[in-house]
Amino acid sequence: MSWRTTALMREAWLNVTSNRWRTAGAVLALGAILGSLAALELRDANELRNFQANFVRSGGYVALGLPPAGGSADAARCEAMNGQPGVVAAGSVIRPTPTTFETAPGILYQRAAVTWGVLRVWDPANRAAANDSRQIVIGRVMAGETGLRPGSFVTPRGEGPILVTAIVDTTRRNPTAARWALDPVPPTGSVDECWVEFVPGAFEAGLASLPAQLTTGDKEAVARPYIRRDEFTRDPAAEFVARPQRNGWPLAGSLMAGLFALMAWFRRSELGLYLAIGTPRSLLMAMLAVEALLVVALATVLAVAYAVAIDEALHHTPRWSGTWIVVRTVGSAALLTLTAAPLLAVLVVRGSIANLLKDR
Amino acid sequence: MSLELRNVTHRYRRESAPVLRDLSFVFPADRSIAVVGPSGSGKTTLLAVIGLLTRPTEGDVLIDSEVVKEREVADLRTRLFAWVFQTVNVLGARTVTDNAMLVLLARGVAQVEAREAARDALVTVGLGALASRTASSLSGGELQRLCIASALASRPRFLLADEPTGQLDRATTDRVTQALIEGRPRGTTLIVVTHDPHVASQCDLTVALQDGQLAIGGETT
Repeated sequence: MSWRTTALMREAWLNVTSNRWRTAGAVLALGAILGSLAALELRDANELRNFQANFVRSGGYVALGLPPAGGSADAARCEAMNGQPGVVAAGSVIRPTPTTFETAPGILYQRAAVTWGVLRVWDPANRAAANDSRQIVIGRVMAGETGLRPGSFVTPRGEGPILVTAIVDTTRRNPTAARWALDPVPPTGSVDECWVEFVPGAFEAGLASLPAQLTTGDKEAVARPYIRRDEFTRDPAAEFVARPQRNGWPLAGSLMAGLFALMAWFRRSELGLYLAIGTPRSLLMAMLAVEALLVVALATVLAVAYAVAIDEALHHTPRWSGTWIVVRTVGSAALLTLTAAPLLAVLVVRGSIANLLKDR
Repeated sequence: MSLELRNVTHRYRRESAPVLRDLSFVFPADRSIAVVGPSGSGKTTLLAVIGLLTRPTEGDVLIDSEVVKEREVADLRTRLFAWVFQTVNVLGARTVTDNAMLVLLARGVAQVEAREAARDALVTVGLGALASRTASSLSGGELQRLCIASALASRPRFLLADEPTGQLDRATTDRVTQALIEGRPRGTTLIVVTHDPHVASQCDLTVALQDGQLAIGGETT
């Protein structure tokens, strides 16, 4: 007969809870290791996440389709890309021409015929939509300069009054258009520019197929990324895979298992006592595994809380935005510790039990 | 239950001189036996061999005339033996009762029964009032009595004590010796290694270890 399972679990629990200082020291040491790893992971995860978000906000996955020199690109084909898989929005700029308004005499504004799709590319938050041809949409900068707002009327030189139906904020995607007056028109004829926003994973293929989609004659349309790729040489996915702390968990796990082995070294007499009363080494290892589980669990909670607090204090990033990465890395280190620590501890107390009992 | 050593030789290293040399001895059952001898004569090693903590280089340990086999060692150690050492081996942060229960729990005894037996043993050695204190708060003599209580609680067939009074004053030595000799359950053989003639004189039998051999009354066995 040997230890009952419940008695062995209780023994581990009592060893952890009754040695408060030893446990607190171990939890703090392990928490510091895991916390550093977690903080690094959280910092990089959030930095990459923010970069990715900024990249998307700035139009990183927007492509421009242009007619070939001496050729044309079809507005209807551009507009028809809306609803295709991987396409967020598509629309055309048809005829930008300079004009003045009677309400702002002497100031030259650009006036462009656009399809509604392009407004969704330039201002993704814009919900404005109308089909009335006697209406106009104003860029935010122009609206600020002229005092126009939705419901106002403008009078382009030589025309009658037109209702301003919306103010659009194009400053992120097309800052120039912020001073434009935009006439929403149906997608007909040839376009000057076809703007298409893709979802991130569909960008490369979409960019490659865009010329063929727009071409109507012998000459093939051209396409290019709206943002020059060399301005964004970072590849978030590759950076994430190559992050140094990705390989930090075996090191952290080994370090923590080593700490447990060191603690076992200082507990030789105590562990020798368990062996002397007939506890098999396998059960001693099981008891040490439960002790390690309790300590590592406490340290993990402490580490994640520490990492999140540090990250929030330093970067003001969303609280749980990188949690899964932290949990994966920290969890891997913790699992390695739980596997290796009891084994190392039992190796520390190998040899003569009589000698262990004499050790202090 | 008898315990016998047959042609036991033990060396710490292959090339070193033997600490125990072709030693044969039968320890009579249900008796208290003092093992005396000069420092370095191998008394502690002898006790470790008897208690199955150390496997002898040569020879056998027999219990009830049966040779102890390697695969039986852990089980026999748990069921039949209990230890009291000169250096006190307790779990310092745990309560006196927890320590006294330990051997019983290792034998698979239920918590409630183990606790009851531990309390009885603590009362036997005069520590009943300190049952809920932590072991680290006890004095040297109290700790040694705790070790004895822990050993007694398991009702061992062989109670092995290695210099249990080595670091104690005379009055405490008497209390510890009394707890060992008189407190042990019927049927328990006590083997106590000691330098103290006063302790040895209270045992039923004294054997001397010299040059790796055991002798009773000056006779080599």
